[in-house]
Amino acid sequence: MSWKNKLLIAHPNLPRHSIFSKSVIYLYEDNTRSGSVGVILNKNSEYTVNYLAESKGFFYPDHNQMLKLGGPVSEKTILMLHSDEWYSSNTMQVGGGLAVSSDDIMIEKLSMGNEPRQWTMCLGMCAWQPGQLAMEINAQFPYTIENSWLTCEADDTIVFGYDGESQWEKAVELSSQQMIDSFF
Amino acid sequence: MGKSSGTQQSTDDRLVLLVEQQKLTKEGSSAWYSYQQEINQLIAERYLLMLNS
Repeated sequence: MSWKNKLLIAHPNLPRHSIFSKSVIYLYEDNTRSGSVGVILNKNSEYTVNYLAESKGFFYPDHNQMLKLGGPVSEKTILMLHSDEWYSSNTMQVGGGLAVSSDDIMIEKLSMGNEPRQWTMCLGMCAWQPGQLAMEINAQFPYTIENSWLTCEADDTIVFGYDGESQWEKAVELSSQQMIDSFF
Repeated sequence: MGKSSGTQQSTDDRLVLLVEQQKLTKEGSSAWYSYQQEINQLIAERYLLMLNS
């Protein structure tokens, strides 16, 4: 089973000190051979997109758009998850109407007012070796139920329409609803 | 292009080595998790290489 284009939602009992506590992750790659990759959608870093743009010699006028903490690996990587009508130099379509970009040109384009219809920008990402994610989701040793993930189908509204803890609450609700629907 | 393939090859070799080393440790031990962190870092790097190739 592939969880590509799905959301991973942290278990409500995951300890608060975990970086993944109350997190919602969008998985844009899940492959039995190469592993799984995604980004946390609902945790802010301390930096704004404006700050990032200025550090690269550009100007992005919105001072409130935060860079998200995408995850604990490749923490210096800037990655943009966005609607798939927009392109930068290394944009890769990931399905479900979404795409991923990670280059300096995307920041230059944003600074010129050329933005995707919907987007979020992350610092760092999450990765799992082949088989690891299935073990976590199924709470298979050495993972426990607290470390496991709820899952649900991703759509534009849940990916881009919410933020912070409200995004996690909405995702939990969506996951429960989709689970109930699958029984009937 | 040659350089990019070389980097990919080197990442893959390192990944195989780490997975083999992880198998020698006790599942769930701190050494096992430590290998897992390194492996996951390489998985992310490999994805970024693919994105930029």
